[in-house]
Amino acid sequence: MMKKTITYTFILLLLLTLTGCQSRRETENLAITNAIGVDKLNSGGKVIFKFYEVILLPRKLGVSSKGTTTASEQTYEVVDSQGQSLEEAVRNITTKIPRITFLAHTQVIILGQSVCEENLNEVLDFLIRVTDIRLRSKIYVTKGDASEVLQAKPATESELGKEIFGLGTYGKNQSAEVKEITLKDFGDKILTPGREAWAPVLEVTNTNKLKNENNLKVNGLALFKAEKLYGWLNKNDTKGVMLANGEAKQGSQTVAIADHGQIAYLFNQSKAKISVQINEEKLITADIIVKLSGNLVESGGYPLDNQEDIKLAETTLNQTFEEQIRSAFKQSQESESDILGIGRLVERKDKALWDRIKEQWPKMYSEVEINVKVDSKIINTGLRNKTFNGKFIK
Amino acid sequence: MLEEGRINGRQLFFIMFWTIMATAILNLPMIIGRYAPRDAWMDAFIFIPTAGLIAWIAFKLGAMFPKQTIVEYSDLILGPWLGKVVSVILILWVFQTGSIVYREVAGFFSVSILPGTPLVVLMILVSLAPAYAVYHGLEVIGRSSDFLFILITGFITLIYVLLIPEFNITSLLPMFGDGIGNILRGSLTVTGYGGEIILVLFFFPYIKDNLKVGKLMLSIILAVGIGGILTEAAYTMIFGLGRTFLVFPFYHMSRFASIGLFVERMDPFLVIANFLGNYFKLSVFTYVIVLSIAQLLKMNNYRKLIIPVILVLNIVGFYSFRSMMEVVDFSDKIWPFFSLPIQIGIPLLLIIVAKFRGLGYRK
Repeated sequence: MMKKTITYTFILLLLLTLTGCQSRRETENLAITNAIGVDKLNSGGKVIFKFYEVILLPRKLGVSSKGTTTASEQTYEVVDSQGQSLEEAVRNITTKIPRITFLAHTQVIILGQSVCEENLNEVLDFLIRVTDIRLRSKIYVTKGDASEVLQAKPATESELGKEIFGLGTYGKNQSAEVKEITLKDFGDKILTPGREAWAPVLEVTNTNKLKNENNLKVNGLALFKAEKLYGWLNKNDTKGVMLANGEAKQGSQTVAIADHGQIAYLFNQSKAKISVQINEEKLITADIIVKLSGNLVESGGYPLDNQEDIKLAETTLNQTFEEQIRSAFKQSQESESDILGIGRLVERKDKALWDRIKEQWPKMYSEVEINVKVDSKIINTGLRNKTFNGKFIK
Repeated sequence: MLEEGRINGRQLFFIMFWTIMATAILNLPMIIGRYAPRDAWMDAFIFIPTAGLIAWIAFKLGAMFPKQTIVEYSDLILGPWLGKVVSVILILWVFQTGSIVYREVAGFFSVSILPGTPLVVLMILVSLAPAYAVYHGLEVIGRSSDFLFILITGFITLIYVLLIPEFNITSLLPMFGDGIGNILRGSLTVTGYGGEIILVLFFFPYIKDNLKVGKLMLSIILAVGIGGILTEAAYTMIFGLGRTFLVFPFYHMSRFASIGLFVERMDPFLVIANFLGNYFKLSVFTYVIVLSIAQLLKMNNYRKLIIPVILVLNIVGFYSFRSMMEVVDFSDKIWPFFSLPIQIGIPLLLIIVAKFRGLGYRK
């Protein structure tokens, strides 16, 4: 009898654990956000952050997968709010949305230019500190305000966050002009001395002229010096940086060779090695050696009759790539942004020297000399050997 | 007899490995990162000889009295009064450290996966498993380690394997860039963690073939050292210098792991795996405290002590620290300075006096 009483009391006590359900969060009540944007307003000397959330509307997504909705129906909503701090801005969003804010699915973080120029520390502190946002989220920077980018329409995906995420994730494997960076790497590059951060730039463009709506593209890099935005790189220079970094996975280059015609080259393997030389006068020289191998994928009028032609094509490619790397390096020197991490190489080579110069490193970086050597190999010419050249004459 | 069960050498290895490692992967990175973020893994190298020395001293003492626990033979060596004082100091040290551990484990849950749950509830939940294990005695803890060890170690190793593509070895260079002084300062708490191996002395007679566990105790330290080198190096290679500012890099790391774009967000598994490791740590600490108090007070059963002891451990842990930052600060700035003298000094003192008085078992 006693044992039974105890057992039943215990079972009744288990009911108490059900009160744990009071803070439950059902999926249909969540405002699932997959992209956020941050801007800044200056009002009377005080900084006001503007915060945007791209909130998914899953019900509409579900219907559109059956193909019953028209393309005009939007499956996401951009909500904005402001606050003196980012947290305040997030809380202010809750007054506008009848759902629970849910940032844990954030894949993309878009930072406006004004934020990057002045308040990056505050923003990064919030993003890394807050439990919801993962370090794997991707960082993008916009020229101008983030709101402009968030007003654009996705070209092929159903919602904006997925579109931007795809632009970087799939773009970086196909073109050396596109690069993405995670929040973790971005934060680490900003706080490590001797290395500066970069972030890809999102721009509004018009992919489909018929529809006449704004779409997005990734265009070049934003360069940082410490925690401040200092300059921009265009598409070509981005390729130069990625080649020198060894981070380029695939990319193409079209070159005109003397007056024979032009070829297009697609590399799909790249290796890079950067080393620094320090001479007696403590002048720093960086040697960049890049090795590429890939295919000749297009030959516009350039004859491919013998080995010499291939050799000539390779030398011309080498010169073009070297020129690109030099131009990118020069551009980064102008904004004193050591994106290749030359400072870290100096630190690894000569710690004592680095301890003396690390204070004035950004200045010294702009005087670093470089030697670039690119070795590109054409290992295949696709499924055709000779150039297509009109009527076949034996 | 207070304890009927026996554990074997393998179980001792499993238990003590996680007793040292479980909070070491949570807390130590934050402490070492303050002094030597880039050379953190070198602290693990310093750990192996220093903690190995503590383990060896502890084994020597244990082997002199293979049939008694440290609480019993300190009476024998130093006399009933002084011996009791030494025992009380030891128990208080275990108690203090144990209360930090309870606070830390509950705190880790509240920072990571259960942020909305009150700390008190977390502490109760965390205490249940160790309380049950201690109630059933040392043998149950040992046997549970037989199958849990592989599970925990497998899970945690898996996460490091998944993260290999993210490892950036250049983050570790230049070596010794943080300065030897900083590396040594960082290794103080690390060595203190390794010194927890002296807990073995409290249940030494209940290990089978305990005259031969000397090498085993050294291999525990070696295994923990290797684990520490891998963990610390991994944190630096993944997060770079930024690891200095991360609270619980372990949690960040488990959130960061991903295969392709489809296997992601494995953090709950990792938090649970780590809790299972901590279950050994909490069980051993609780067991040692209740057993020693029972021996000190000549009780014939330690079981009625379990609930009060766990309650007091939690209460002390709860009221000693307002936040996790205080726990970390305490383990960095205060804890090693009284722990290391106790871990090395008391066993050494007992050995010297015992030799002097000609006590102890000789081969």
